[in-house]
Amino acid sequence: MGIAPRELGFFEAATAGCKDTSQRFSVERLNDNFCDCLDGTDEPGTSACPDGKFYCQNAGYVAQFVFSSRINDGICDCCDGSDEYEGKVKCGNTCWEAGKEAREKLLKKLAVYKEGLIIRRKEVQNAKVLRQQQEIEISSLRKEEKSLVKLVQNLKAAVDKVERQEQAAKEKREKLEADQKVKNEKLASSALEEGTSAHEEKVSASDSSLNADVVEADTFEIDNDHVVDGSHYGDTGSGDGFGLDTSNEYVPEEVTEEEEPDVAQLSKEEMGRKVASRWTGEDTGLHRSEESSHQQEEAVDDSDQIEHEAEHDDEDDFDGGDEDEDVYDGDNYSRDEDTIYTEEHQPSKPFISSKQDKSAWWTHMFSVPEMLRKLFTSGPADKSEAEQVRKQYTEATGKLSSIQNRISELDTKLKQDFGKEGEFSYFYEQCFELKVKQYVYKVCPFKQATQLEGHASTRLGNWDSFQDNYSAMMFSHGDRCWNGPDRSLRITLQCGPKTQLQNVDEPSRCDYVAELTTPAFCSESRLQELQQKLDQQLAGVHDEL
Amino acid sequence: MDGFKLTWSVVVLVGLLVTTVNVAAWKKDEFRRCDQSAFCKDTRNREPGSSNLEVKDLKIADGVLRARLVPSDAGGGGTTEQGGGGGEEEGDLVLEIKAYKNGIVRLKVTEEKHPEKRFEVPDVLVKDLEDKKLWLQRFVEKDDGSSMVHLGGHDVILQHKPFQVHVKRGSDLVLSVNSKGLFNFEKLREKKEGENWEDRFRTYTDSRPYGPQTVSFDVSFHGTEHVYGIPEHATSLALKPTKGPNISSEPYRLFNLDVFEYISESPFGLYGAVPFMLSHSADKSAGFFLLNSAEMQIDVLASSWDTTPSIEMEGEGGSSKLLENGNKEKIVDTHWIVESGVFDAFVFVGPSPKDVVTQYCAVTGTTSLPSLFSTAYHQCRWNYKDEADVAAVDAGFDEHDIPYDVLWLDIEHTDGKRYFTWDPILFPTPKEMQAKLSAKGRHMVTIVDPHIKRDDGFPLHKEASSKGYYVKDSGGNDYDGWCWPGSSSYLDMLNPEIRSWWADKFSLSSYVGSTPILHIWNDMNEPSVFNGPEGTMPKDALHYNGVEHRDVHNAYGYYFHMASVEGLLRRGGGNERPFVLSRAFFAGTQKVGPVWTGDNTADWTHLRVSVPMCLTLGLTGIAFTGADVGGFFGNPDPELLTRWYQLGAYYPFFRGHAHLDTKRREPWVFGEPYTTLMREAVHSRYSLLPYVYTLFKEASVTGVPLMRPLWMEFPEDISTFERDEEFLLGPSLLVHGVYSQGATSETVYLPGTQKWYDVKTGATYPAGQKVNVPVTMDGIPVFQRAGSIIARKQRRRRSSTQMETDPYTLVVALNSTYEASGELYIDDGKSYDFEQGAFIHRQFKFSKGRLTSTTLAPVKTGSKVFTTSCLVERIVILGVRAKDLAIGKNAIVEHDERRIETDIGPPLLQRGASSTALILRLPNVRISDNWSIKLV
Repeated sequence: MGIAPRELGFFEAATAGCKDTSQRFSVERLNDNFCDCLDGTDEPGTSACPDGKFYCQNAGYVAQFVFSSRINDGICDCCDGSDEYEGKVKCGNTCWEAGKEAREKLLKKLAVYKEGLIIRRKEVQNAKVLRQQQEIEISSLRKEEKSLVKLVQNLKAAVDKVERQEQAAKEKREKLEADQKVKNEKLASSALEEGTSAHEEKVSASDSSLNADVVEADTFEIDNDHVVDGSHYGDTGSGDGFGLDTSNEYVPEEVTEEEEPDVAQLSKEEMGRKVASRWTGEDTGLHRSEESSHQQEEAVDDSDQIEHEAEHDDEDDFDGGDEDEDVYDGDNYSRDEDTIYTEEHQPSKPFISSKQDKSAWWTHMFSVPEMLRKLFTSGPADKSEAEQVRKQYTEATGKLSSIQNRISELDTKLKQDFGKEGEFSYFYEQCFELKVKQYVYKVCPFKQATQLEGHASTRLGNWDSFQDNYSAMMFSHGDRCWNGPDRSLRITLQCGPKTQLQNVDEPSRCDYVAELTTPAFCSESRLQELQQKLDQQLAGVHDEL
Repeated sequence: MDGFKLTWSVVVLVGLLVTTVNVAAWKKDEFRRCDQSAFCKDTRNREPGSSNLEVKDLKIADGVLRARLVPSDAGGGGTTEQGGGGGEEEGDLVLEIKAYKNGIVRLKVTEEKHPEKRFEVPDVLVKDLEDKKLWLQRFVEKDDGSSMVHLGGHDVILQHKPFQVHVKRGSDLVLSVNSKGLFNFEKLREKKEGENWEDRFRTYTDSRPYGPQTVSFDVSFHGTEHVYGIPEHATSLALKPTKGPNISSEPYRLFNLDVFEYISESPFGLYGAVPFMLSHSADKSAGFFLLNSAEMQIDVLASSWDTTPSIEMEGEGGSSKLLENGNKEKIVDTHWIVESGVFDAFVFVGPSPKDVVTQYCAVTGTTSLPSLFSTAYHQCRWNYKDEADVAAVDAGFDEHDIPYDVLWLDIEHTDGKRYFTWDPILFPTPKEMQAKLSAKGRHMVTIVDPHIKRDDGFPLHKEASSKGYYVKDSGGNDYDGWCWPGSSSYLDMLNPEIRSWWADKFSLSSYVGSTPILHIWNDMNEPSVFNGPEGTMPKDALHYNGVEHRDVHNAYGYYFHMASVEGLLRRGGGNERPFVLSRAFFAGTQKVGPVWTGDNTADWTHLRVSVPMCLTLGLTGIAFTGADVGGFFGNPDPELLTRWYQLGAYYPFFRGHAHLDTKRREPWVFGEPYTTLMREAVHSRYSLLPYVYTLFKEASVTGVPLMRPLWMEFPEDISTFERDEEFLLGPSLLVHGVYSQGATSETVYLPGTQKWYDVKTGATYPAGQKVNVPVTMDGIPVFQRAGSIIARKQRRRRSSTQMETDPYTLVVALNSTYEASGELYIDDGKSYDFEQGAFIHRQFKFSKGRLTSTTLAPVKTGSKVFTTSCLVERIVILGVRAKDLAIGKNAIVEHDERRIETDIGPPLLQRGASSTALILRLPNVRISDNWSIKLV
């Protein structure tokens, strides 16, 4: 009773050993309803040993081991009813129905696998071709980069030279001016006061106009290059030193406002909400979390709300542009990491995070106004020559920078783990969405996963890695939860003919799970396993018959 | 008391630093200190000897000693104590002294003139208390100005001037009231011209329409250095002094509050209050209970808090002798400061700790016998989201072969926090869901809180408001507070009519979607009011008969709990035991149901403090208690969670619970080896259910708790008096938790003179000393006391329901004379038929190589019978003589001369157990029969 056929031999001798080798027992003690072996070896057919296992044959379906705790407990567990032999409850034999149902399911699954496998093969092939192309591209780009680096160096030397000349000229002029001034002063000692003040006025006027121009240039650059950061997300950017107070409608103090407003100022209802929120973590609109600007966006403060909505409208426009991958390719800063999403949700970080961005950014911030300043102050004599050199230099550095960006982009992609056969390659730069109630879940493999609700967006995680032998995708370090962990999303993969996100769930708060059906998961080996399983079941049925 | 030198402020600060894992932790500022309460501020600093009352007109009537307490003209204080003003118009104070059987003395002081305005807490004392009253016949007036009442074994001495009361057992002074002269009873009076009675705290103003009405007094426990009790505080078992030289702490506060992320080691009040204090020393124990549900603050005074001579008693031999011994008398003085109500005190004379608890429970009731299923493992979380989630968790337990009995649903299961409803999307078919659990013998619990959503579309609210069933604010309108549903009102549970109305809401027809396997959880019943002062209801809110909330606050949760329990009783036609868990509690809560220690945190300090918290609850009568396994807030790592399961298996109430924001932590979530470890921990509880249930029976009869401080069983062992890292479960098991990460050994103190057996390995350890016990992740140190017999059921099942017919194992742990004994109580586990005699109560005795089973049940006590066909499948004997521990020994069942085989095997069927015990295989005698088995 309760013994698997392949183990029958084990009990044929006069004495047998417990499988954990702790004891030996005589055959009379096999299934005598007294536990001798702690591992349950001697009581496969009774509930005497807590750690025992009972074998149900389940003819017509699949044989199965059930825990000894199920034996004669008044609940039918084996489809053949063999676990309830004491008759506390009458269990019918449901194995045939169960088997039939299971086989039908298997057949369906097999069909899905076969269909998916065809697509998968195609994608694997595409991935291979694409990879080769990219490898060729990157090697030619590297050559070009090399020669450009040289060119840039030469031009830099030329620029330096021009600048030295300019400097010398400037110094000369200044010396002349100074000499002139000394002369003038001598003259002025006898001159009228009005004359002096007029002169000073003139100087200060030209100074202020100079300053104004510089500022304008600055502003112009920033607005153009950092439209996302500077103006749309001015609230987040304003705290880090780069923000533009003039164009920023958010008052910085609001952001750094005291976390918990004085309870004395709260109405009874606000007070209730605030205290409730300690347990629930729901934003009451009464305190601002320093962790996430996103929570602030949900604040109930009316004036805030309106401003945010306005901002979001702009953001949407921008989003639209973002769909077109090429729009920003010509920019001097890379966009491989700093997409709008990461920007939006990491206000505490400087909004430039990659090194490349930083260099590009600094170039623009300071080199351009610097030139303008020089042009104002240097003499007009060699202006056109200098401009020529500088223009060439600027163009060359621009080109170099964009080549380097492309290289790094390709490099990143080539280094990415796309699965054993590159089957996940086509997930690159793709996003999958699912709408559940008021939320839209957007999963962009190798980038991030977000939850969108109206205009609000919450980052569920950044791409982490594949897990469990490419059967799951992990996104981690998403937006921090109140009183809890960073959000994360684990997506388990399933074979299907189309790539589709489904069954998003949050079993613990901020701990998301979902499923993604995709042909990429329809592997040959899994197909074979399923086929074997079906064959076994069919063989079982055949034996029965 | 060297260990007590740390001041509270330091301890609190350290605690804060250690436990501040979250941004928002316990907010000290939101709770009043004594000096922020009008009633406490000045009273706390009263000088000893300032009480100036004297006893007049002493007489006995109706078996009760009565007298008037009047201000003494020559009183040391000089000025009149109570408010001066209309002094001559005020009536006097009246004193009543009553006695009850078995060492209980009641002292009551109230106002002659305003007795109806001084609140006396109803429905706490047991109904038949007056039947146990001793009819006082006479008192003896002494020359020294005192009177004495002899009560057979103990005496009450009433000193007339100044008024003092002393209780003696034999010649031994046990307890005194007002021996330090701090007794003060502020009589109600008219407001004086220009006087302001308002009490402000933060943004709240308490109108205090009746003005000052503080009752304060000192209680001295003689011959002791240790006092215990007065829950609920997250602190040590032995109460640390709060006032005295070099000690400045807040007093212990009794004021039921919903404290967000409470910290351990703090005297601040938590969810419940039992104004009952015990003292214990090697030769005696005593107890003091104040029946009063207003806020109170209690100082435990350090020795030499008061430099004046300790006692000024004239005459009476016993105390004079104490005086002669000079300052050597061991004594603990306490100062009780109560906001309102009357002085209605009970003194319990012991002499043993169990006697004191039994005496206290004779007054307030014993723990009601729980259903068997509720003594097993409970699985809770805020929240199991929907029916699919419930099914998945239920299946998870089966898949991992982990037993559990009850699945719980927190507030999110309701339709918008309207209790008695179900979220129509998430829980569309609650009956079917319960039927599926029921098919596996399991039960379900849903939450029902006392705040009612103020929503005109909610019939319960409509009915309650139209009937005027809500607590009123000071202006007479329905009090409108904020809780989970938003704007909410609170049912006035002081009113018996409303309690009865509420009880009917639990009927199967009224609570749509409920089935008979559904039980209840009362949370937030302090009551918790998010926007109220200190997170609760304003003290000037008004209850039934115009009683202020101030007077009834600490009992509010108890009345709510009581009404819910009444509901389930009615639902079951009076013959099904209800299960209702409550967070708030008061003296007497044990009669209605279990409590837990509220919203604890997933850290080691909370694991540690759960033991003294549960021990204290047990000492104050509430035996059915436990802490949330795993810790409510925060995420336990798998080691902490495993240790918590291993300890929690020995809590009387064993439930895993988690906050909404935490990660899932069902016992299989962390994978191996933790799943196996937690399965074994849970199974160890199931295996002990026969023993645990027998202990519950004992608690329901005597009041003696399941979880016992070591000194309850070993009263003379002074090294146990401050020990609270280990405890006894019943008389026979000693449990020592593991409270730190990566522990490899624990130092365990084993009390008594008989050795202790490691329950798993059978290894023996000597008593009366600290022993070093190696520990692994496999378990915490648990020992069986030599001389005890414990009944177990070792087969693993899905739930306790399937264990009903499983056979027993008897584990006999022999003492030095090769003897042992134990008890087993069995009934149907769910009805009240046991009250009509339907139970089995066995005694097992091992002596002279023979194990006998005899009945302890009285001969036929009722009309009903309980029978069981359960057998004994295994008898484990630990500590047999070496010559008897041999294979081939035999044993004989004497009545049928049947020979049974023996073997050498493990004490328990648990992984890692070693073969150290003599095992009698398959004796197959009935558990319900008389039998004897002899070793040959």
